[in-house]
Amino acid sequence: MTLYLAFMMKSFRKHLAYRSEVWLRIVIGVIWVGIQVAIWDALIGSGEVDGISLRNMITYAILNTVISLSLMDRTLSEVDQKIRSGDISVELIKPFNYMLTVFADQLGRSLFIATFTVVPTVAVTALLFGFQLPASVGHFLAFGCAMGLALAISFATSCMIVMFAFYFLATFHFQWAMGALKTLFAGSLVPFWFYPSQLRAVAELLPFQFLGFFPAATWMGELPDSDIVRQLLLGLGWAVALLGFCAWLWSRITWRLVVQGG
Amino acid sequence: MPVSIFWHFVRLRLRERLEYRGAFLIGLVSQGLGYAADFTVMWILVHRFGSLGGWNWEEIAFLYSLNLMSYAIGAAFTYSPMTELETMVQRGTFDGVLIRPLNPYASLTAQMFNVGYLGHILIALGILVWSVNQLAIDWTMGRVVFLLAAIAGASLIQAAILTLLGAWSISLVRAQYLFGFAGSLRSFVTYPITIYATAIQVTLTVIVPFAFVNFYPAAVLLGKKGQVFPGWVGWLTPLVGVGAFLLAYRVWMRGIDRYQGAGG
Amino acid sequence: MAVIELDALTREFRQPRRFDGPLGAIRTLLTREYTTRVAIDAMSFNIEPGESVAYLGPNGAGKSTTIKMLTGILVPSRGMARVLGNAPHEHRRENAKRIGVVFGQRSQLWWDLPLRESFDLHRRIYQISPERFRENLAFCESVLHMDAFLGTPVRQLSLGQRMRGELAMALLHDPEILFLDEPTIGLDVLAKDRIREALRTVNRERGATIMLTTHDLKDIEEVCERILIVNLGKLVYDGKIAELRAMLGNQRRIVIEFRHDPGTIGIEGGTLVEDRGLRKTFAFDRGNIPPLELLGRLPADLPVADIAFQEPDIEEVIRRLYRSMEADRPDQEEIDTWTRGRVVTQ
Repeated sequence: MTLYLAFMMKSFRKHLAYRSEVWLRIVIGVIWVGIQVAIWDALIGSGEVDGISLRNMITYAILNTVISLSLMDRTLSEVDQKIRSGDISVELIKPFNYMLTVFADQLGRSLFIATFTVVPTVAVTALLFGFQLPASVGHFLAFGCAMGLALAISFATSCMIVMFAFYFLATFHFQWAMGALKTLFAGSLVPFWFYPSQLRAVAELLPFQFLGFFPAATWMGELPDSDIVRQLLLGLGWAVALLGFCAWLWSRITWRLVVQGG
Repeated sequence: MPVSIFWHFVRLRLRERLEYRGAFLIGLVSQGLGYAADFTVMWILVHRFGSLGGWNWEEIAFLYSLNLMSYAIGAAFTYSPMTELETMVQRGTFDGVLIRPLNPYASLTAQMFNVGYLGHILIALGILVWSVNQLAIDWTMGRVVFLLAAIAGASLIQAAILTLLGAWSISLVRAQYLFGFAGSLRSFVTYPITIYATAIQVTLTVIVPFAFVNFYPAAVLLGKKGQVFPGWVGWLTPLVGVGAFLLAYRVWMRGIDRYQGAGG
Repeated sequence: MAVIELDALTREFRQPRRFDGPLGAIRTLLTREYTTRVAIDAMSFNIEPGESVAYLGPNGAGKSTTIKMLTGILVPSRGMARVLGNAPHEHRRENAKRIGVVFGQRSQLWWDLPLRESFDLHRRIYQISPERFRENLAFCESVLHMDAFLGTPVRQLSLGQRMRGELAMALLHDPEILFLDEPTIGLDVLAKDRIREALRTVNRERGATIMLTTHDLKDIEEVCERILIVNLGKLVYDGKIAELRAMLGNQRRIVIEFRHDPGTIGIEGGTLVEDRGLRKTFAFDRGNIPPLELLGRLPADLPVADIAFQEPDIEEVIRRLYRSMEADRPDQEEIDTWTRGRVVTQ
């Protein structure tokens, strides 16, 4: 366990070493929020639509922006390269679970982003545009759980993409497809409240909602408690299923590498 | 560099791509899915709110198609080289480009021309044709020529911005994030810029002229009014394109000079 | 007139200063301090047309940096370089048509297409006339034995085949100077032979000047006449291979394999250069003692199992030179012994 912790801290320190990126990310995050605020101001203005005010949407935009930044959905290009070049076999010789180290590495990155990008971005945007605190302590805790699910699910989906590369040679296409699903069903830009009812019903069954809409809506207390609990359980189910699928795929790949020689 | 050599590079890239025929087709499908998702989210927003800043659904689709088409054309030349420039420099592969008796910009863009954007162009063309059919534009010869010139200018703007990012990626470490930033800026001309605050409109018009990629030419053709700037600046799109590209090209060449240690 | 001239050529690199320790990472983020690293330090030498020169040095000595400056990729910080009479960076494209460059570790070929496509593109870029192209292609095919795989996609070629392709491509436009950066690295023996043979032919039959960086000393022995050694950005040796060999020719070695370790022993007129218990190596100055007499000097009661005479090769010289250069206080005497005072003083 300490080994993986070490990987995580190493990743954290590695990200610390890059100079310009930190400032840039904060600036970009703030601008991104500002742009969304402009859109919602034009659309909602001073009134309310479906019970949602501009203030609500500002908080929603801020939350989604920082959530998106902290997800583990950067396609793990290192892993991808290793699989394609066959170097992955070298990792299998080492006395630890490679995938867990990758997870730890990504977690280190997320921790870094949370500390150095999320906090300053929220601080700045709160000052500029206003920001609503969590609806209650319970909601905050639920938000925490939701974020855990978000990390797990984003990790699982990007792993899947990378592992498909092993069979299909190109991550590019799966990235696009996954990106399409995320665009439509994560609700990062447009919250589910504005979706046509049938589309919303579908979106609430899929795992992508945990990558944006669900954590944000939970924080804001815009969902009834029963819904929150139910969706958290659904999310847990998805996380387990997706991670399990990944683990299975990984075992197939390692088997193929070890037995067949890639 | 003579056009014939450039064209030869493109032909070679096409042949390379066709070596992986299956992947090419899957690529088209997955790209199509990606754009369908984008399009759907837009549709959801406009559907829910009626019109957006006075623009209806077909008009917004028209905006979207212009943005996509110009991006596909510009990026076909510049996306691969500019995003990979940093890696090429680190690995020393970029030296191979400098060894040749060719202009490095032309050589690099030709060598890394991305045939994959063909799919994007087809999709954009489809949306363009559809939206134009729905809209009541009086298509005189002048207007048709303008549309083509505007698309050319828009493509130059898109190429210019990618080129600038490529130039900066050599000086800054891990500037990959800048590309994402430009992408998000760009995605906001998906909507008519008149809905944004003045500062944003100014930025998108004067600083990073993405608004000339679709909004201003469309405003001209659809007879829409601009807000901070008058709609007729749309006629300047081709000029803006050429100007932006020349500027970006200069900065890029200067960046290469600096990589080579000349000029500090 | 020399085709390559360097005069006090200097190249420095500036890097942001890195701090150590836990807070070091944050300080590195915020610092505005820079450190300067001198990669090439006032280097001077000339190369005449038709010479074949080996450019040698430990890793990090500045070999690649020199080549980059000579090919116009990198600009000198101070001093002057002239290639074919021109400053390489200012006349990059002009010179590019008259020089060929082969990077051992970076490919310039098109990965997914057959070799001949890369060659064809090369023909267009360098504006080679069709007849000249055909001639040169035929020359390369015969000298490098390439006919079999011209039509194979480059990604399917073995490393040896690929390197031959790279070399061929660099020769297609009749370069007056060939720069090669570790061209035989990772190749099998046969492939190395072929490359070396091709380089010899190009140098002797076509008069191309060759500048070759390599770690393989056989490359040097087979291809080059002159050797330049660089260390820490400075030139430390400039001389002919023939001289090195002549010098070595005066050294003779005997390797004795004992049945059991006789302990420390000495032989009159010889120096113990290597002692591995059962296996000891002695060096003698050849000129003085005939071999039979050498053997005669061995005490008859030594438990000798086997004896071999050994010719020292250039590798030995280089190794000693490198080792001396590495030492904190370089043993100038040692260096002098091996280079007979041909060290370039700075």
